[in-house]
Amino acid sequence: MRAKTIQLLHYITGLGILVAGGIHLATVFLLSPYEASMSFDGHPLSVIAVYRNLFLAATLQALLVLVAFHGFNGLRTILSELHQGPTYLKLLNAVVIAAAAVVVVYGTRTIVIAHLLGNA
Amino acid sequence: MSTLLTALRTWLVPFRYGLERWSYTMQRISGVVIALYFVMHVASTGQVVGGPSVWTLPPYEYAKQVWLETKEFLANPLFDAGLVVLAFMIFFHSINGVRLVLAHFGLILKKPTRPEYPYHPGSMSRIQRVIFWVSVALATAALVYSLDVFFKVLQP
Amino acid sequence: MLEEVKFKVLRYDPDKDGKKRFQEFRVPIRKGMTVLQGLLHIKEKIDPTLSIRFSCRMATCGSCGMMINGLPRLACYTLIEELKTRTVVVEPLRNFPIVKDLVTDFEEFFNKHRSVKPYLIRIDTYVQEKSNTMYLQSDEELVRYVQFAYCIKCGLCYAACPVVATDKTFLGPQALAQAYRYYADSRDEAGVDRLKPLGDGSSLLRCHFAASCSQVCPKGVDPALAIQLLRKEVLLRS
Ligand code: SF4
Ligand code: FES
Repeated sequence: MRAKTIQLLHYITGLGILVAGGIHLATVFLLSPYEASMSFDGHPLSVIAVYRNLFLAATLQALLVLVAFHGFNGLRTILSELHQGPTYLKLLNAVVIAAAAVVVVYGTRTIVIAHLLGNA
Repeated sequence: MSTLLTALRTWLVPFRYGLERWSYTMQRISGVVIALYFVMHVASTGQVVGGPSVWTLPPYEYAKQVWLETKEFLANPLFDAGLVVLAFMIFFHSINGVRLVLAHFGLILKKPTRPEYPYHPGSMSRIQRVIFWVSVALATAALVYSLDVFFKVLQP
Repeated sequence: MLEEVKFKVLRYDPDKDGKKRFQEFRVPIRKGMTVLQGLLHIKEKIDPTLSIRFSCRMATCGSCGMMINGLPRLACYTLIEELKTRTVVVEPLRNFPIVKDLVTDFEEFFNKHRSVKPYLIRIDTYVQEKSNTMYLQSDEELVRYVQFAYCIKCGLCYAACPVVATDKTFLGPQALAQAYRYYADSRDEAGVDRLKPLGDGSSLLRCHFAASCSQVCPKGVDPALAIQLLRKEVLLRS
């Protein structure tokens, strides 16, 4: 990908996080007391209830992908300023993509299984 | 090694170069902290379904048990204090991030002019700096709010 | 009335021992005396081995840039009294290799400047070479870039930039401001060709708008503004 495309995606994911992250924080802090949000079940916005709700689960999934891109691209940017050279940059890209993939896969697993668990 | 030292000095020491340099340093530090928190958050919420070894539908009671244990482990004032700082950083990074996107497209900067003295750079426009202070103010509000959530400072 | 300040000057001589150390001098000052005059006093009266570079003494040639009390400034454009300290700390510009004492090597800096093609590119090269042609420009068109054309290539912005400090592939505020200066010039016809190379790698996009360049520029160039305007074009048009 061209650097400018990545840069545009960095802005777009950043603005997307504003929306998805806003919904996430609102469900945890504003729409239900924090204690209730942290309980496993038994409240309208408890952990499992949030995952069961298709819209909220989809929001979390979007947030996961957006933050993974934005965050790891940010780290990559910072590390690419530390040292230059084609080998270093290739290695850096590979490591960052791999790390982001691990986080996204693990997070997706949590969301999918918790969604199913809530509906079981 | 000396590049690392140069890097840390230029990234982390914002003095003397004005407000925008502070924004740069704070955006960088908060970004790294949020990214690291994000990884830990994905790891800890993974406990909702029973931890890293679970890749198929687990028994409901087992998942609940693991989550309760995780919650107990996380119920530590040190972690809570971390979340309070994080609240500040998230709000600062978000609003300041919007400011940076706008600035990167030249939207909140003044148009080029003939410099007149005493000279003030058009890139340091008032609106651009106001948004910076708004991000600091909102971040502080988030900090106070989360202090109340985690340490009940506003309640008698 | 004669008063004295202490000059702390960084000394470095690769031919002697190659070690950096500070040397202190007491310099009597007069009203309206610049840091450059202080350094010249040292060179003439105290230590002739001190190396400095200067020419115009009036902020026009851009050769006397150095770190004065921690900020990049022109020695000829900085009054000692306006520093409001009894000690003036003088070091060579950051982000430049040192040649000797306060003299820094501008080769990389000028190469980056050259790389953005800092000259008008026309399709009608034949007409351009005939010296009797004129390209008319309205005042409005002039104002779009004239601020950036005041650059004297002093390197202060380059020394202030936190990205230049560690990223060698970043072109730096001076070169990027010039890239925009020619892109925005109504007489230039290179258009998108100027933008294309900047959309790849970190030559432009690494700018994080720390605006330290605009903070220190002695000529009112505002490189940070030029870079953002250029970035917008690169992101949307290249
Ligand atoms: S932009 Fe300003 S600080 Fe940078 S080289 Fe030109 S005159 Fe010097
Ligand atoms: S001596 Fe020419 S700019 Fe200072």
